Parts: sequence; structure tokens; C-alpha cells
Amino acid sequence: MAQDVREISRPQRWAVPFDAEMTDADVARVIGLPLFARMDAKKFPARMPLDGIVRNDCALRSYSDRQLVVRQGDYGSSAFLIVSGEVKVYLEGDIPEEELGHDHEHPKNLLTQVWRNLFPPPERAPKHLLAVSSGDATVAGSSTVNVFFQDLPAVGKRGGPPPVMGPGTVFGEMSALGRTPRSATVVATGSCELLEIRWQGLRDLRSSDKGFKEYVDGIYRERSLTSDHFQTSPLFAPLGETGIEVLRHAAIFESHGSFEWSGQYKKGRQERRQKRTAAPSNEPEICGQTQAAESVYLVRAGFARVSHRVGVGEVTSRYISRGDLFGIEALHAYIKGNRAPVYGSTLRALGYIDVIKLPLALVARAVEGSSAAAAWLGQGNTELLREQDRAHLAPLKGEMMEFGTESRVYNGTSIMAIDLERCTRCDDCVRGCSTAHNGQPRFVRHGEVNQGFLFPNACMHCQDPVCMIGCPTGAISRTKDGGQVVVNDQTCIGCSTCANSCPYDNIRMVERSHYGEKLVDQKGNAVLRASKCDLCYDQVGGPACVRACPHDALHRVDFPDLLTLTERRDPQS
Amino acid sequence: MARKLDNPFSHKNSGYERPLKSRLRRVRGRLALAGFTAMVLLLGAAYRQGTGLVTEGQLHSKHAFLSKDCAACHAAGPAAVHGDVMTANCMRCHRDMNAEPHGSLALTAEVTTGRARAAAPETRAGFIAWANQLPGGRVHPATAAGIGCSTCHRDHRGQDAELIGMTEAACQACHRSTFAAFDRGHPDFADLAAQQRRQIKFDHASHYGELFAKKTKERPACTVCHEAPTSAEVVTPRLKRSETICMGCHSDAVAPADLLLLTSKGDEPTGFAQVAALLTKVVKSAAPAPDMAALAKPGALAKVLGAAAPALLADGDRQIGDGDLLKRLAAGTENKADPSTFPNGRWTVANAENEDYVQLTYRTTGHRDARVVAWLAWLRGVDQTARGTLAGADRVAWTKATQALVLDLTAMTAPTVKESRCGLCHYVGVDPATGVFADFAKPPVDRHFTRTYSHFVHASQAEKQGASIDCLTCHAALAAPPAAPADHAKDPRWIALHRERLGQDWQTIGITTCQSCHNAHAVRQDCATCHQYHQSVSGR
Amino acid sequence: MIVAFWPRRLLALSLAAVAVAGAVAFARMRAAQLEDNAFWSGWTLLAIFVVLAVYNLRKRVSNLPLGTSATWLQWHIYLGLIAIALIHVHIGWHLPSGSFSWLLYGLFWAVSLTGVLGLILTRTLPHLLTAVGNEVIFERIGERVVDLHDEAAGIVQGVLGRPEGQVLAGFFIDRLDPFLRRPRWAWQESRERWLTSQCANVARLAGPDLADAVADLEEIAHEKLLLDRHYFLQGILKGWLFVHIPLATMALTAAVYHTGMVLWFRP
Repeated sequence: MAQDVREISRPQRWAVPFDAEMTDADVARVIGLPLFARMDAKKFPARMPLDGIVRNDCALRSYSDRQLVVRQGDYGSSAFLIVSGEVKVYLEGDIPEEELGHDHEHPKNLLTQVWRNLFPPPERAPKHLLAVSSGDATVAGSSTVNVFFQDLPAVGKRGGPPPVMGPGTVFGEMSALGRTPRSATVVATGSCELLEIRWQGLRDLRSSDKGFKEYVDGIYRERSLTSDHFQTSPLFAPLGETGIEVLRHAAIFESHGSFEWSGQYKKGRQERRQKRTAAPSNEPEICGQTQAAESVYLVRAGFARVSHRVGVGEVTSRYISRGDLFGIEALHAYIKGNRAPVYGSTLRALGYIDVIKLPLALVARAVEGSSAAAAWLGQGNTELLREQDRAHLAPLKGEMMEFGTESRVYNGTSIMAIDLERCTRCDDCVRGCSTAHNGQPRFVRHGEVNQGFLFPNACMHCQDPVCMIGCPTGAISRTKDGGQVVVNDQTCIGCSTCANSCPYDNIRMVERSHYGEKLVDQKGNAVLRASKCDLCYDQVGGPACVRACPHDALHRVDFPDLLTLTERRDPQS
Repeated sequence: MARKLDNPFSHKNSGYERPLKSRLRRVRGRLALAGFTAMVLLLGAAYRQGTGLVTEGQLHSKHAFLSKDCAACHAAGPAAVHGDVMTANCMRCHRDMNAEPHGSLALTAEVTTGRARAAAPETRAGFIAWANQLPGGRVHPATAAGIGCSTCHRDHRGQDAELIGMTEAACQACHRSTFAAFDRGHPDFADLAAQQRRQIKFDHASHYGELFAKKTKERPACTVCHEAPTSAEVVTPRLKRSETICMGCHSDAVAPADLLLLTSKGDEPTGFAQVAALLTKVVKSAAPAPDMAALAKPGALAKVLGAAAPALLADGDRQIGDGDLLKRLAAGTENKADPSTFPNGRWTVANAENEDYVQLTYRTTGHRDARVVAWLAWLRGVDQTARGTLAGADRVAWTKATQALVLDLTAMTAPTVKESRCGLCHYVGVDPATGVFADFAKPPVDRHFTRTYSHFVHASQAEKQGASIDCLTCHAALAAPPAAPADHAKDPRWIALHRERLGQDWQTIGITTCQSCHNAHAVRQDCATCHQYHQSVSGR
Repeated sequence: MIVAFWPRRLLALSLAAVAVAGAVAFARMRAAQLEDNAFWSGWTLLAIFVVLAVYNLRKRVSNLPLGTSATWLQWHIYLGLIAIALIHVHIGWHLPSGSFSWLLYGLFWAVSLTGVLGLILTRTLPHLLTAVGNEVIFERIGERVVDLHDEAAGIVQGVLGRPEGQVLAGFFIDRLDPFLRRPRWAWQESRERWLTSQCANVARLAGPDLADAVADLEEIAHEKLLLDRHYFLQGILKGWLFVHIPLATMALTAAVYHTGMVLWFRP
């Protein structure tokens, strides 16, 4: 079938700068700042010069008194450097939720949705792409929000006035690098000027300048420890501020695995499939089953597999993620009098994991001093042991766990699982998806099958979206509101990095078209764009696939809920 | 061979669904559309042809002639129609709603004479108003309550579907408030029979308890008068013939007797003549007013009578056959009449030659003298007409006169014995309010009550159960006078018919006797068990 | 929140039973007051009919936030069951009389029964489909079978040069080619046995050198067998609607006509 073709210039990374209003003077001023002045511009590669990064990946922003800079709970992918003025930091709970007024995005427009459903419009390419020269590029969206607070608490929840950060300080790096929600709310005090660095710039600065990397990683560790990991853990929370303080001082920060693990995983998965190897490869062991237990681990970010040796292989009993503890069987044994306990199970890093390592004896002493913590430990341990038993005895749940861990499905927060025991293969889900996305479905009803569940290649909206790592333009990002991972059609340049990064092959590269015209570059190659499930975040009513399934067969679930899906089924004779 | 090994087919002819987008769904959509179109065409064609397809259910066979004309019953059209159009349409044919529950017994009489058919208004409201104004006229409350015919009479349920049957629930729609079930609050009906008029005045209390006992020295068996019930019989076992039962004692009451019709003594005409004068005056017959003075003269009576005869006697005495009777009587030839000419009685004119004292006498044939019965009926008709025009003193005088006349007609003895012999057993007399009544016919049984009760079945059932019952098990003399039903208490006609019988009869059956079997735990006790009220045609 | 299906089914069934009992009681109450039951039940039925029919339209505009399709199906099922009871309230627990009444009543039952049948198929066939083992998209079965045929033809062509290749060619022309040509919905187990015995026979005649080729052909035939199983089962799952939906439009048309007649010719 002949298709109309239209030639455009191939989009480039810096075709759309982060802030088009960055002037040469601004760039010079930023490079003059102490943090940048220390950098050696010569060490930067020619295609990624320092001034280029500053011009295209940074933005100078002015804030007035009491203006919101970042909000706790929002997803953000940029860090801030204070150029002048001061900001105050408020932790979770300091500012009442209603005053915080989460700036819910309002992309949902029912009328538009109805209209588009009845008359699906043809695909249109972004305007700036259509210009053969990329000169008239439009400005990418600024992250500045115009929210002002009237009453700010003088005293934080943890006592004392909120911490103040002054010029030269970097913040927001945790969200930018860790792809996690903002851990604190930052508000301008007086008027101040901030340099917003999107994470692609942050990454490039880190990789090209050692000093910058050390500085950012240093504050990253420091802050991630001071944030309330301890407070939210049921074991440590009862210890109180002083008890936690003791532990914090003894805490060791460790990272395991590779930050960019997905490529290795993809390769490894193919190998494992071919060889049917029993032992997981490419998963660094953090501690072994028979190893003498010296520490208790608290997961700060990432995932780890807890497994037991069975035969020559290993059986996964659970996986742990942010906020979970490892080593509490040993801790329990230690408190019961066994002064030389072993871990009892193996902990392996799945991809990349940040853990906080705490000395076992110290934790034991602290827990013994608190009856609430001790009670939780006793109960938690019993449950844990029972769960391990179940993992061996109940093959179904165990298998799903094994599958989930092996396929890295645990990463998903909105996994598409189709119950084949109910699915009539009517394809209404695909049709629904297609209707919701201008006639182009974002998944195919085809994929791996486990426990009678089909896992189509639809984006799972990972806890740790590795697809975002390589994106040169920030086109793939989390929405502020629900944290869905979405691709911005306007800024996607079709470089395929995200599709290659995705360990699950859930991003497809499709050819761009404009009112039916296929877009090609000067060489005649098709211009692509990334297409993936966006969980219908801009649609009223939620994911169209779920809404379209007549038989309650298609689910979008968080991984832990996946294990309970089978329980929903009717008992089989 | 090589040619054969080439791919012999593309998937176009593989018999599988092709991967074209939603081809199946398109076909499905088209099928749905085809279904719609087929239906529209079918119904449209059927409607145009006016075939039975358009009818919503078959009409009852009696309404079958209406089945192609919906508008014959229904209000057809887009406009809102007020009122009960369909009932009005029903009334176009069903004007003479004499049958229960819509009409009453009084109405029945009107209808049978054909008068209702002529007089009843076409609308339901008009009908109800008309029926209720009749003497003793009454319609069932359901008819008067503004409930449309179709509330109960649901047609379009097939040719042989029940059209007039009433369900238990339908009865209970109104009657439930009275009582919950037969064994829980059904009104007693011990004196029900006593409230019902029978053909003759008869009271068991005096006959069975006293008179028979005097005669036989002991209480007789019921079967002396009543036939033993047979399996074919329902309700009341037949009486043995009155000639054999009643006449044993009442033979003198029915023996042939002389009925003095006319006495002319001196100037004052009495008896028939007196009435005739009044009659003539009231009825304003074409005949000239009788000359009373002339009547007093010998031989004048015959002349007067001769003149008035056609008006006075033509209706009442058809059996006379020729209008010359009185002429002949006057001529004195009638006395010599051959009995074979007048088999039903004998006329005598006493003292025909004496102009001051002349008597006309009729000798009856005995019981059921056709001429007397006819005269009474005629009189009743004249009376009813006359009463409409009379008022005040005239009316009182008229009543007195008719009373005397009826007594004359029924006494059938010498004028000194002023006692009605007919009235001893029959409902004959004059009510000051309602006038002459002379009803020898067997009255219609109030159909509200059971008509399927069978003595035979009940007795044999009881015997099967090991009980031995005779008549007296259930029937006993009334302890107290029967009460008039509430809605009859002020009905003068009812009172007139029943007052003589109050406190004189037997109870039919006590409700407790019925309830010993008919209750929630044993034999069925729903309404339709006993009340044949509005059951199907076959049940009637 | 994931709720198991059995409790939901029980709840929905009891709610439907309550609704039916309520309607029957209401009708009895009204009948006891000599009041009409045809109109309210008729309008309710028509409303239910429309809701039931609109489900199909709802599927066509899947993107509108009008409640999930699953919720609609639940309503569809249980309102349908309620309608079966309600239509008898409507006609007073009599059998209809007259040709049109019978037509409407018959269509109603036809739609109801095909619906119930479809529900049973919908709830049972997926188990069989899953038991087949592979997953395949209905519309792609044809393509795949064509590919399989090409593959088989290729294998046979590859060995034609050899003398014993004629055995395979004969087998292909006489047996495999007709089998691979079109859907075979014969009883699957017997066909499987037939296939196994045929292949065993061919393997014996073709000799050890062509054992691999025969095994490949057998594998192809076996896949075709599974594809046919899918084609058959998925075909039924899609096919029953071809009866249900046209009947439903016919019934709805007749019901609307009926309503029109009743409104035009009022009592």
C-alpha cells in the first residue's frame, strides 16, 4: 500500500531546550557559579560540552517568598541548585495535605474524550518537527508551579524549625536520580533564584566531572539516610527519635548491582531461557543463606530476591523492596539467645539496590529495649516463617512468585494480567485500547503465560522505570499525578533508547505520520516515536483495556496483588 | 507433482477467518440490522393486511367478531382520551347488565320484562344511576365504584379463556377487609335461608314442632316432606309434591270456592264495581265515567259493566275469550252456560232479576285457578300504573280499595269470611307503600350463595369418615328471629316480603358445623369453594 | 480490591431474586386491589430491554467512561434473568394467545436462551482454550495455517530428490494437504490418533534417513491440530453472538411495536 511520505529533519536531543530563554549571559553566569567554576570544561566530550548542557538542560528560575519549589509526593526528574536566596525544607506531615494542594493535572476532558471516541482523529506530528529546520522549536514545559503558601508552620513534625538551605546547595537529586517521588516540600524564603537541572543534564555532568559526582552522591547518601526510612519501618518506629539516632550513626550505606541493569537482564534472560539454568545469574549476592549474620538490611531503593536453596537451584520465597527488612529471622534468633545466627536465606540484588546496613547486635539491643518493636519482631518473624513454608508447600503462589521475580514483573505497579480461565479471546481490550489511542493500540494480546495468566507486552509502569534512564530529552517521564510512565509525543525524538532499555520489551517504536503522511528524514528513513501504554492517564475512567473487558479477565495490578488474583477464581473441580 | 506441491491456496480460500479487521463484527452488525429490517417488514406487511398478526392475543370467541377492529373497544389515536372509553364501548352492547354482581334481583325482573333493555342508559354511570333508582334496585359496589369492565374481564387471552371468572384474590380485593379466611371471621349464615323469600310462606317451627307433632304424636322424619337427597342433587332436596304434602291439612284452603266479584245493593256499588269506578277515574280510560246512580238500578250494572268490560277485564281475563260474557251474564244467559264451555270455573249471577241486589260470583276450580292468578297479575299492573299518578288521600283510598279487592279476589268465601285463603301460603296482598303484590313464582335464588352444595356428597363424605349424620345434625330450629341484612333493613319491599316470616324458620347450617371440616388444616376453604359468584360459564 | 467471583455471583443472584420476589409481590398486591399490572411491568420490561440492548452499543464506544464493560455484563446477565420472570408477571402467568403475542414471547425466549447458552459457553470454553496450551489470536490462525502448509510443502519438496521421498510426497498429497487446507472440526482426539498412526506408518516406510522430516511434518500437523482446536473454540465463543444479537434486535423491534400498539389502542 502506497503511503504519502513527508520529509523532515531528524529530531535531535537538544532540538528542544529545557528552557529556550536561557541567554548567553545566563549560561556564562551559571558557569561562573562556584559549583560549575570548579569543573574542567575540557574533560567534557565535544558532542556534550559543558555550556551545551547548561544551555539546553538547565533553566534559571526565579521564586518569590513562600512560593512552592518542589512538593513532597510529586514525581520530578530535575534537581535544583540554589543560585541566590534561601529555601526551607518541610518533611511529610509538616504541611497539612489540603494546604499542600497537590497540583492535580487536569488533562482529562470528557467532551474531548467522547468526541475522539466517536471521530478518532488521524495522527498529527508536533509542529516543531514539521519544520525542516529546527529553528522555530517551541519551548518544552517548565516545571515552575505558581503556588504560594499563606501559613507555613514554624516548627516541623520532628521538632525544631524547618531546615534552611542556602546558595550553592543542590537539592531534588534524589528524585531526579532515583526516579522516586519527592521526599520533601521545598518553599522559597524571600525571593530566590534557582537553577533547575533536568536529570539528563545531571547525569551527563556526573559522568563528565568527578568532583560534581562525588558532591552529588555525597549529599544523596546523606539525605537519603536522614529521610524517614527508619520512621516508616514498623521495627524501628517504636524506638523513638533517640533510638533511631543511635542506629543512624551506625548505619552503613551500600549499593549493589548496576544502576543500569536492564541491558544485562535482557541478555541474561535469553541465556537462561536457552540454557535453563537453575541459578539466577547477574544477581549479585548480598548475603548467603549459611553466612553468619552480622547485619540487618533495610532496603532504601530497588529490589532484592530472598531465596532458599532447594536441590541444586534456588526457590524464591519473596522479594523485598523499598522499606522492607532482611535478616529479621537472624535478629529474632539473636534475641532468643543464639549469639551466632546465620541469615537462613539468600539475599540477591535484582538489578540495582540501595540498602542500609545496620549491625545486628546494635539493632538487637535497641529492639530489646522496646516492647512494641520486640512484639512486632516476634509476630513478623512468625509470619515470615509461615510465608516461607508456604512458598515451599503451595506451589501455585510460589510459582507465581518465582515467575514474578524471574521475569522482573515485581517491578510493575500496573501489570496487565489476563486471566485465561475467563478470557474469551474477544479482543475487546485491544479494541478499547485502540479507540483510546487514535486507533493505534498500545499492546498486543500476546505474551508470556504463567498460572493461566497471560502477561501481554503492555507497560507495567515500574516502580523503578529503567526506560527513563537513557532518554535524551526527558520525553519519557512520570506524570506528577499518578506517577504513570508516559511518553511526551512532542519531545520524543524516536531514538529508541527507552525501547531498548525496557527489560520487558513493552515499548514499541512506531513510524510517525502526519494526517496519513509517513514522516521520513532527509535520508529517507522513517521517523519513529516511542509508543507505550500510558494507562489512559489522560482519560476519564481509567485504563480502557480494563474498562473494555466484559469478563473481569483483564487486570492491571500491583505485583503483590497479582499473587491474590488466582484466589479470585472459581474453585475448579 | 511439483505443481501440486506449490502452495495451493492462500488464506483467502483456507476457510479460516481472515485477519481483516473486525470482519466478523461487521457481519454481526449487518445481521442485527437484517433482523430489525425483517421484523419491521413483517410487522408492517401484517399491519397493512390487517391479519391476525397484529392482534395482541386472541379475543374470546364471543368477541371474535371484533378482532379486526381494535377501535371498536379501544380508544385509538395519539390524543389523550379522558374517561373510561373502553367501558363505555362495552356498555354499547352490554347495557342490560342484569346478571350479578352488576345488577340485583329487582333488576332481573325489569330485564326479563324487556323494559331494562329499552330504558337503561348507555353509559355506565347512567346505568348505575338508573339501576339504583329502581324500586329495590341495587348494583354491586364493584360496578358502582368506577372500576372499568376490563379490570376483571381481561380479554385477549384466547378464544376459550376465562372471561368472567373471579379469582380468590379478586374477591379478596374488597372482601378481605371483612375477614381473613373462612375459619377466621367469615360471617355466620345460620339465618340466611330465613332471610330468603321462598315460594310459599312456610315455617318449620310451627309445622314441624307443633302441627305435625299434634297430628302424629311424635316428630316426623324430614323425609315426610323432603325427598332423600340423591347424588345428582345440589342445595335443597326436592320437596314432595305440595298436593300430597300440604293438602293433607290445607285441602279446605284450596277447595273450589265461590268468589263474589260484584254486589250491587241499593245505590252503593261495592266490590268490583266500586273499584271499577275508581279505576276508570284514575286510568282515564276511553270509556265514559260510570254513572253511579244508574248502576244502582236493576239491570244497570250489566250495562255499565258491559261498557267498562273491555277496559277492565280484557287484560285480566283473557280466558273469558269473548267480550260478550258480561252481556250474556247481564242477559242471564251465562248461568245456563254449559260447563264444558267454561272448564276453569263457573260464573253465577245471583238474583239477576232483582235490580236492587245483584251478585256476580265466580267459582274457582280449586288450587292454582288460572283466572284468579291472572286477575291478580293484571291488578298488580294497573296498581303500579295508578300509584304513579295518585297522591295523598286519593292514594290512601286507592290502597284501601285495592286491599279490599285483593281480599275479595283471594278470600274466595262468603263476604263475611274476610281472610285471604291464597295469602295463607302465598305472597299476595297490598303493601301501603309499594302496592299490590301477588307472587306465586319460585323466587330466583340469590346467586351470591352456594349452588353447588350437595347433601349427598357431604353425607357420603361424612360416612366415609365414620360419622353418622342425619338432617338434624346440621339443621336445627332457629333460636332467635333472623336479622335482616344491613342493606335490606330499610328496603320496604324486602320487609314486605319477609316480615311475616321472621322468627319462624330453621337455620340452614351453622358456620361452626362447616368449619369443622372447612378450615386451614383440612378441606379447602377459599371463597370459590362455596360461592359460585362469577365463576366460569361451565360452572353455572 | 479484588473480590472473588463466587461471593459476587451469590450476591447478584440474591439481589436478582429479591428484585423478582419484590416484583411478584408488588404485582400480587396490585392484583388484590384490582389494579392493573401490565403497564408498570411493561414499561419496566421495555426499559430493561433497552438497557440490555444498549450493552452492545456500549461495547462499540468502549472509550466512553460509562462504567466498565464487566459491570455492564453483570447488569446484562442479571437484568436478563429478572426480565424472564418479569415478562410472566407482565402477561399474568398465562401463556400468550394470538400470533403476534406468540411471536414476541417466542423471540423473548429465544434471546434469553441463547443468552444463557452464551453465558455458559463464555464461562466454560476459556478453560478448554487454556488447556489447549498455546495462545493464538483468532484472526491470525488462517495466516499461520497457510504458513504451516508452506512449511510442510517445503519439507516435502526438499526430499523429493530421494527415492523414498515419494512416500512423503504421497503422504502429503493424500493426507496432509487436505488436512492442512481448511479447518477440520472433527472430534479432536480421534483425529490426533489418526495423525499419530498415519505418521508412524509413513516413518516406517520412509526409513531412518527421513525420520527428521517426518517428525517435522508431524509437528506441523500437531500444531495445526491445536490451531483448529483454537479455531473451533474461539469460533464458538464468537459465533453464539451471531444468533443472540439478531434475535435481540428482532425481539426489541417487536417489543417496541407492541408498546406502540398498546399506546395507540388504549383501554
